[in-house]
Amino acid sequence: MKDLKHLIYFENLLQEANNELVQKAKKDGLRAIGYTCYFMPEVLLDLPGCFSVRLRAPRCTSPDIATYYMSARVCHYARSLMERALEGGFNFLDAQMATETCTATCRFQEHLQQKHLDSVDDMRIIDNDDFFCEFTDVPFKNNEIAYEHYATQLRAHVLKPLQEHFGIDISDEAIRKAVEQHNEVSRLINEIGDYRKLENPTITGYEFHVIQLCSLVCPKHLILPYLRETAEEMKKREPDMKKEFRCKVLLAGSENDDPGFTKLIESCGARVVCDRYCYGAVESRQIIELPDGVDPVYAIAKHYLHSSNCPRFMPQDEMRARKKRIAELAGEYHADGVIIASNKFCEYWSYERVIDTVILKRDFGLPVCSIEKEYINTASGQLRTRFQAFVESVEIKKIQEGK
Amino acid sequence: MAKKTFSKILKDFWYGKPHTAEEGGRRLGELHEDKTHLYKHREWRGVPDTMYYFYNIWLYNYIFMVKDIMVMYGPITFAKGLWRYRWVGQTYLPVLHWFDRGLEGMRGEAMKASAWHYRAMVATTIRQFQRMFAADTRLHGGRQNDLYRHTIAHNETVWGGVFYPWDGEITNVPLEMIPYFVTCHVNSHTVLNYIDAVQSIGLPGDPCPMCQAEAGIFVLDDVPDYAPAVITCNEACDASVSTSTLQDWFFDKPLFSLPMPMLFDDPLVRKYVMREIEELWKFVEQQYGIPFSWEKLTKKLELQNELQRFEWEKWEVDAKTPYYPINGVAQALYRIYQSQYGDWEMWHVTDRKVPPDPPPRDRLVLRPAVLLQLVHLGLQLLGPERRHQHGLAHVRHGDPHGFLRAYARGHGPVPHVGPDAPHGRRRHAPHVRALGLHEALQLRHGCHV
Repeated sequence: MKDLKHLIYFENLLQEANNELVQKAKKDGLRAIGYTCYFMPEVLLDLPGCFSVRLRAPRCTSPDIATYYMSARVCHYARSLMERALEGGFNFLDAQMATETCTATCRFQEHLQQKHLDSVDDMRIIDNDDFFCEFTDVPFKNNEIAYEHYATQLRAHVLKPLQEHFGIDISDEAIRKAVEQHNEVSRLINEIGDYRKLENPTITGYEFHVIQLCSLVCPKHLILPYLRETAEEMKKREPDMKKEFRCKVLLAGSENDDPGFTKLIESCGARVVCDRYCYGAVESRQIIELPDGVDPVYAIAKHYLHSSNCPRFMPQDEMRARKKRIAELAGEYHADGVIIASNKFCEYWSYERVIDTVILKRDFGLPVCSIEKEYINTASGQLRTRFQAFVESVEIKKIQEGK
Repeated sequence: MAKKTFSKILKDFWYGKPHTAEEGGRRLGELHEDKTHLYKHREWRGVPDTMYYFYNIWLYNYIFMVKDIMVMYGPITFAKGLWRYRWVGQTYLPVLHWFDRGLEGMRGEAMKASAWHYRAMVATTIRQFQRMFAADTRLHGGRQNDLYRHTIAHNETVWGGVFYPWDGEITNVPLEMIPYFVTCHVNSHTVLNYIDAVQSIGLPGDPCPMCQAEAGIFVLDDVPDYAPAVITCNEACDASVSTSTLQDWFFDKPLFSLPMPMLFDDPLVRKYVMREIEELWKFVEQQYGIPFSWEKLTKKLELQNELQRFEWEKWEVDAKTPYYPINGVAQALYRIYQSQYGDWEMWHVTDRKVPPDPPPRDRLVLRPAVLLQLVHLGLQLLGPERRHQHGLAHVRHGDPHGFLRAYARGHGPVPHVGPDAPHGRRRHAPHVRALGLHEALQLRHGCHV
């Protein structure tokens, strides 16, 4: 396939958290608001006057100092973020909107909230006088009581502090405007992502992963022109005559902001056609509906709880629906198998992965490759062997089924 | 010189070796065979304490371990459970070894008070597993008997008090407390089998071993099926949330998850928690068809408040005297038991130290408040003085018993600020954690933080 016009530009945007577009927005006087978890609605951080940045620590392979402060038994993602913060990589942030949705990222954000390390009182992790960090309580259920509670929390711990610290307009009109922008980004990402449903997809999983990540880490109004142009370009993009892949897979699992990982899978003969993982588009790029007469904050709270498939949800129906959702997505995207990947030391996904591995195979007949990985993929040799074996087994299964 | 040595030997024989290093110390490590946990011999605590230990702790508890079985659903129920569930056999007989380890080095009133706390824990353990076995469909040919229909299972992190409205009609039994939590205190090797089991189906070794054991016990189907419905909770950690998923998968029965907020000090969360607890009550009513009773709830909450006041009394002794009313293990575990099971007369008996009728001769243990008064009057009745005043804040770990004991050997008994201490059991926002621990350790226990 012909290379996408902006792919290299997109890849470059992912090399640093404080990328070119973030710097431009800051220069324009906008406030940069960091967050880590899907349960911090990015749309509320994209109100006029500020923009959201979902935190990443690209190329961080050895978080030594963070390990000292957070211990070696904390997930590599949280430690890498801490390391990057200690290196000064997040000094551009004006605020961190935190959630205690998993212990590891919570601990990282607690360090930011304290503004200094316990043993070094005068060391500011985020060297920015305006910086503050606020925590929001996120419910573990998806019901009416939870929607109301979550909306109350978002008003008190997100909107109010943004208004008080930076004078951000938090009126209903401003929120509706931010939702419109969010929906446009989502429509474009979905439009680009839908090409993965084709018999011979005209976009690779890696390319889509890069584009989706850019939409999470760049100011929306600045990335939108590039997304529009890419969506137009995709309409004319022709697939290769000969398929470059041997099977299609759905990638599910814990936090994954490393396009190199998707590339690794695809280099083993699989095509990643669906991304049901944290930072993926399946959840984060759903359209937010704001019916007339409904409080927009309530509608946003409901949207984020309703659309999430996080293993943090405990009710029985939610736990069971998550497995069904993966199976449905595999059908929708014509995936031949599922790769479930959990980050090392991720407690939620360690268990979820075990159950998915058994249930998806047993109840839905889906071949499953279950792996544990690091945040930044350093064990590529071993993983490559696993993926090659999986692709081979899926191929054999297809041959046996006469496909 | 010889006279002095003889005098010391005699004194050590009668009173036991002194606690402090300056006076020779007890050198508790020498009780064990080198590089093993095997005792060479029992500890000599002096004539009065050794005799007390033998009759009122060792023998008394063995007798009551048999008596409790006899009066709580009988020996046949116990024998069935013993035969069916691996953890019972591995942990029932070594109970007194658990006492020995927990009370190692202790003397006087603190030893006696700690032992009575242990006794209460043993009694409630028996009460819980016997109820499990009596209601267990697996031990009754798949039949759901009346006890089954009146028992509710819940995560050990759900406070037993939420079932007070059905006091006397529905019995709550924590799911994990007896099969794996207590068992790893009594015999830490018990859980290895369960950890192996869950890792054999693909769980990595990363998550906390306690939750792995909790999950593994379900993988091996080694949990009694004793209730028609289950209540889960997101406390106390991510892995605990995840084990609920496994439990649901294996149990496959009506389940209600009770979510607790993470920012528990935020006034905005109260309404949310209140509504979720109301939902839980509706669920119980629906599942069991037994109406909710405010009268029972308020009555039991009064009793619960009394338990809370007793707890504070113990903390007061910790804070305001150089002595400790009970050791860290007794304090921590007893509190966990109380919290998980909810109110029970045994707790009041233990805490009040009101002699039951007829009063046994061994009830010499005094209530902490009384002890506090005596200490203020200059009477040192509480046992050895603390060598250091340390607090211990920690998450759960696989062998708190051994850890606290080892810690106490070096530093003296510790106030315990673990997840089940009064202000614990949840993940804290940093400022709350800082304030909570600071208050607990500095203000209540007089520690440097």
